[in-house]
Amino acid sequence: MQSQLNAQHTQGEGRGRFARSLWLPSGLNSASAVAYLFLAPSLVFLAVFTIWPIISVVISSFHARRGRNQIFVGLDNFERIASDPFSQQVILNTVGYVALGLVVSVFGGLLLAVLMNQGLRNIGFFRFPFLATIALPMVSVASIWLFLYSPRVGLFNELLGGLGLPRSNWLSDPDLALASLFAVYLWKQLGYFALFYLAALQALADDVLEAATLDGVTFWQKLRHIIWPLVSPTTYFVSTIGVLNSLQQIDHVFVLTQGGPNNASSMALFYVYEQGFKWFKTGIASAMTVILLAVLLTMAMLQFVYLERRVHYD
Amino acid sequence: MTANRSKWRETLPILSLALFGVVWMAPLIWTLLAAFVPTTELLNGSPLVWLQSLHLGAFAEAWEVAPFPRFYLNTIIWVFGLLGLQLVTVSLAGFALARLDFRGKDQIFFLFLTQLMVPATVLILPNYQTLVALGWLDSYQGMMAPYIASAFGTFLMRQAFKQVPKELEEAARSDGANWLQVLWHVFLPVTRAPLIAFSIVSITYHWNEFLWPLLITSSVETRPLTVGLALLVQSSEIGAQWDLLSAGTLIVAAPVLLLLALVQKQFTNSFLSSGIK
Amino acid sequence: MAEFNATHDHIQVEPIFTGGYAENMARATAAILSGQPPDVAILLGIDIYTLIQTEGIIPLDDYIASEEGLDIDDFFDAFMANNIADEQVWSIPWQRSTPILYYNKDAFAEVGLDPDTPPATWEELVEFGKQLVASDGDNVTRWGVEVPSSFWIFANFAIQAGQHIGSLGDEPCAVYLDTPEAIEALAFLRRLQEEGIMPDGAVAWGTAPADFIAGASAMIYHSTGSLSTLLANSPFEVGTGFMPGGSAGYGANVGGGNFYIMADIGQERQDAAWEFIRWMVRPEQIGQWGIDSGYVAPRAAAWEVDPLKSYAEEVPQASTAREQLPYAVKEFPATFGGQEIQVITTQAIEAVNTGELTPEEALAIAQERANDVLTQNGCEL
Repeated sequence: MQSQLNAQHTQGEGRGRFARSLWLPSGLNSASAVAYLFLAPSLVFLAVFTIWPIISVVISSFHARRGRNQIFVGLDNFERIASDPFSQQVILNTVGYVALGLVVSVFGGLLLAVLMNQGLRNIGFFRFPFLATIALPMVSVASIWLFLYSPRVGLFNELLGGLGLPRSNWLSDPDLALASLFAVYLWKQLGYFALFYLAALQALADDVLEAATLDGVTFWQKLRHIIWPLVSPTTYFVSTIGVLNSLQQIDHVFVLTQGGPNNASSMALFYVYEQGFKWFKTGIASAMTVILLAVLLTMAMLQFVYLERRVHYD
Repeated sequence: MTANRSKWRETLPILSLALFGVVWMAPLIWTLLAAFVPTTELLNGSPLVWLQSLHLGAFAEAWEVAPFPRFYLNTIIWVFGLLGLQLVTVSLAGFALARLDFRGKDQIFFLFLTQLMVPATVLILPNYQTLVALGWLDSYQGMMAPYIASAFGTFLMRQAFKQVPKELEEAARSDGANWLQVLWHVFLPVTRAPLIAFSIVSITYHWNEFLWPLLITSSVETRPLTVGLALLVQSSEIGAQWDLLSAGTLIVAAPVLLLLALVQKQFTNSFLSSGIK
Repeated sequence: MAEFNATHDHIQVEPIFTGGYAENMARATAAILSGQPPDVAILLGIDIYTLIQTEGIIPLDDYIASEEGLDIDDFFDAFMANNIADEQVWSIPWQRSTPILYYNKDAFAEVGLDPDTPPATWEELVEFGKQLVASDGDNVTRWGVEVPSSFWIFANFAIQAGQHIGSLGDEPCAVYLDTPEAIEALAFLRRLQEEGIMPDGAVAWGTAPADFIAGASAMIYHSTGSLSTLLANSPFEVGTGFMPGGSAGYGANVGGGNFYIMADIGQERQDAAWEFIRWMVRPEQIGQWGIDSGYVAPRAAAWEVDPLKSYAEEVPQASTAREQLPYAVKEFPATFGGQEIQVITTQAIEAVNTGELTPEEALAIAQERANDVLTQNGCEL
């Protein structure tokens, strides 16, 4: 494969004189042999780092660590998760957060995209803030917000205080902590979802939108009855990545709350980290991972069914 | 009356967008200020005082407290090393799936699909155990391993390769080119756009990645910037050195922001292409 | 570190900085379980049982008694309390600490309190705290005191009320979270909030010193390890005092990092590790580190030689924690699964600080969860 690098200079020398250095064994000219060879590097890494871990985590979820040994405990780990109020809270938090993430990524994303799709000159200037937050590392974003949320010297409380409003304990109030984390996520990711809607809107024929404007319909009617049905494939897609995104991003939990106060802002993946990597309860952490996997695979299945149906009726 | 209303209807969405933009920019501007203005002046002074007390001290200090040059080097090695490997794997696999007929294609397609549905982040625990078994903890290859095969990149390239006209391929084949030569001389030159799109998404994603490198690195020689920043946040037990943290934040984020400013359009398009499934 | 490498040709030390103590311990445990441990690790005293349980560390008595040994009696008793199990010494104190009370002398003077007399009892704390609160309309601009919602700070209040919540002797299977004294201690913390002296809600570990420096809190409980930073950054005179005493008088639990030598690394590396530790805890060396960091140099000899001797004369605040040591006991929790029990305890404190649960309820839950952790680790309760 290294020979690819040497091949470039021969490119301009005309057809029929292909670089000899891009050599494949002569026995390997059947398409399927070549295909397997080309797929081999990907398949090796898929097998070791996607397929095997799925199998091994299922096995681990039936075990628990005792000292340096793993012992078989059956469904004990799952029962512990089901019966422990703190794990229950983690699951509830995750479900709420992901559900909210789904709703906001769809409606917020669409609204922002409609606003961005105004054919303004210098629209790039208006779009920059939303793109910038996508490009920033979540750890940096969280560090920024740590300062903003700081109870007595932070920007938010300074502003509230300045307006004569009561200040809040954003990250240390159990009723606010998870919402505060969500706000950080929203700020970072909303532009990402809007991008997809923006592309969908720009693909729509101009006259569809303009005709609607002429008839004197209101902005909301237009959004509800004309745009919304037309972008439904995008909505479907955005909701899928919305769920995946909100499940996966937990860097801000690390920097901002560590799951506190009193477990109020812990989420599934942070729980896996805490149980598995801090306290070495690999069994419990594996069981939670298995639950996550089950959810993701169910989603995949639903998506499959949906796509099948679309293919049939389109 | 009507004229007024229609004018209002035109400007309202623009105003809303501007308002949205200001709200979105505020934290960034505040961070810029916090990095260049000493914290006491920032909290107690007026904008005029801020202008007078601009300084670079926090950057110098952050640069000193944490070995940022080394973290930069580590990040570049891991992000671009990974990208290089990915470009090879996704081109080859994408080509096979797009242009070659072979048995078991559906099953293999399904394997790639699994990775799309089960992101590596969810598999940190078993993947960590695999790295332990391989002895790859605290190494660049360990950081890269779960991402070397990329379903997203493979599908992206597959899509692009499918659109290359059959005649081009056949002409080359009849000249006696093998498949590798066809891929290199015919397909890759006309699929630069998706390759660049994939590269931008990959660079941004891994430049920003935190949890996985945090778990598997333990030395200055391997840690990327994001992990270094998080340790800086935590190590200041005291939490009051906001200028230091803001400076560190900017040091980490600057290259991605620069990339965005330079190629905003490609950037947008690249992230859109991450929507292809 | 560089100096050690320069003077010891045959040993090269490569430091690995991994963040806070919890991260350090996570990293070390992972390394032990995967069979690739470091040679030396700086970890909390409470981790001793977990480390013994995973067969990750070796006892140091033979080294201590050897010709190239160490005068272990020179180390303060309180700082050795967590380092002994099964009548063997498993670690050497390095950067040790207790919490102390920090107060803003300017604020004391402003409200007519004596800047040289910090509160000595819980009642005085409440009394002083009320006087120190300042507000602008409904908005409090300066709180009387901030006590971080942390297991490590709470443990001191329980000791002051007469019951250590962790094990005092060599008993890795016991915590005493639901005792009347612990409940009394947590109720007192809640009272500080109800009296309007301390802000409502949980107080994050890093928030208290930030507020103190900004003048938004007149007193805080924090580690001696924060001393240098607070002295350097506060635009007012910083006073330090013992944590005020409760019904059982003064009381503190210790904390901070100790040197452990790992098992599974071979005799030669263990010898080298010992040589390194011996070099690091020389009185001059460990004294200098105390000055740089604010931690308490854990051995008497360090306080009798320069640089620490003259520094202590110059900066009286540096001696507060050492003087508090006679009242100090073993660090909480010092059991199996200690890292998890810490978090469980902190969660109970947060639940009370935020008004979710009463002290009785929160500590009953914490005790039950802690018992479960202990049982999972093979304890018979």
